[in-house]
Amino acid sequence: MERPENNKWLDEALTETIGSEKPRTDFEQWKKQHPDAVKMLTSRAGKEASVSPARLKTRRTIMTSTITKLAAAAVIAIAAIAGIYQFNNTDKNSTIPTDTLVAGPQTFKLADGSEVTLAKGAQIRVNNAAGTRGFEHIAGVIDVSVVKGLGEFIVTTPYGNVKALGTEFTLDMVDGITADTKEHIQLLAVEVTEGSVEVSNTKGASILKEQQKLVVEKDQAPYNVSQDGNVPARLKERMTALVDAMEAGDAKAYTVNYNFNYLYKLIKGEVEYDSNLFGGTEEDAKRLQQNLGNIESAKALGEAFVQAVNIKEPTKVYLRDIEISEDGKHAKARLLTGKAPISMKGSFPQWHYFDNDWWQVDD
Amino acid sequence: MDLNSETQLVEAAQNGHLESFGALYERYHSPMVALSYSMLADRDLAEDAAQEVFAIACRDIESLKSKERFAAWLAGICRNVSRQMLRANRNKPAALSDKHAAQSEKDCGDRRDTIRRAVWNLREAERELIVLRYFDGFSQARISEVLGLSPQVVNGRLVRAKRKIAKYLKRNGFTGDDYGTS
Repeated sequence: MERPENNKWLDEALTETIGSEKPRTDFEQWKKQHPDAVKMLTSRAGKEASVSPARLKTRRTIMTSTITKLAAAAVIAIAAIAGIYQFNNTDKNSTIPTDTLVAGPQTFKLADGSEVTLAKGAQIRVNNAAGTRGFEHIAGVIDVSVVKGLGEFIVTTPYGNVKALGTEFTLDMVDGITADTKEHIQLLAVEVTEGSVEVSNTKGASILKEQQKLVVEKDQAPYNVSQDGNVPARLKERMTALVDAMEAGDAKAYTVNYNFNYLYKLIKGEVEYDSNLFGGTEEDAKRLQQNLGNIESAKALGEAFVQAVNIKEPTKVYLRDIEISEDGKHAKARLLTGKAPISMKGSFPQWHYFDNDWWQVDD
Repeated sequence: MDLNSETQLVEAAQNGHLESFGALYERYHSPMVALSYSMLADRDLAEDAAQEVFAIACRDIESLKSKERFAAWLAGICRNVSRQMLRANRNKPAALSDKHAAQSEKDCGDRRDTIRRAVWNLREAERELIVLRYFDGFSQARISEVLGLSPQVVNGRLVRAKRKIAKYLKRNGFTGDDYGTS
């Protein structure tokens, strides 16, 4: 019997069904549609030690010139002397040629003794030539520990500069597309462990103190919720508790922000539905009444929420900003959750001030 | 495949040489559309996914350590982006959707729809090969390059996949007679 996979009719059937017009491959069009990606790639040109094919083609011609050979010999001699000098005056880790690209995972020691710990996927570019302390942050998550007492230390990034004087901080550069809304996210998250840093770009500047976090998005001023004068202190506490709970994957801590006394009364029909106090629709409220109508107490309701809430494991959270209503009683935050660049999602928790406190009313 | 040439292109692209990245784009755009199509079963979505795949590759190519594994790395990005789009659309593959079935019926009756079902019932690894083979007529050698598999593995999987499709079609009453050959 003929093997079915060798049947000509099967090839014809598959070609007819799957076969398609050849995709239109147009790199010029693609470049126009992805200027940011193109910019990121071309920004590396001329900064690396490696040689592009175009340069390889010209090398042979240039090196045939006698003057060029003499000049090259001189350069090599100078470079050798400089290399010996550097080898004798620094340890192995801090012997860095000009413009060196460093990729994680590793801990890299800079010439001044400061250390940068790069996570997998993180990259920095180090340049000793300028004589200033610091480096360029290109991608990923890095922890920086700056040696004190040696003057200004600046980390440059595409979204702003981070200036530190003897401190420890973490930089997390995000460049990806949100899984749900397909928004292109480009931001730098800064978290200070010790000391303080100043984050600045052309749109503004913000001083970040110990244990504070900040997000600076492309072409936006740095946003530091701790220094947002429009946000009440109690709401900042609530917001911080929510972020901490999500980052810890702690469902119980997450539900602390909800007013279960009010929700219990709503379920029991003791108060009327109010969209400001209950984040969902009236139908959502009715569904809640149907499903939890037999709940015995506000405490039991809280315990049921802990089981139901979708906080199962730690997740990264970036707080982009908080918007306060004109009457000052309602707040809406913009968060990003999940791991960049593939698993990020937008989240928009809301709060309302009632029963003498700020309560989360929606997520 | 000219491996050295491709490795040089990747290295040059990693150093910011846009034309080299363009050459890689020209070389792999069509296979990425086909690979994405094998998961999404929707030509338009597959084209969108391929665009996104190269945007990610353009941004992240610096992180690629094994330059000779560029194609497999790109295919990995493509699978991730396609899965993400599949989840975002929250649809079963369009090949099996009512809308697509209705269109198929209008075009060619049940026959094409049944063949599509046979293909999309395959395991992902087999379906990728079948779609790459028949979407744009890629040779087994080209598929082997794109997916980073040995030619023997590609051939073996193709044979098994076609055998499963033939069995499925036979069970549903389709034979070579429908095509005038056997």
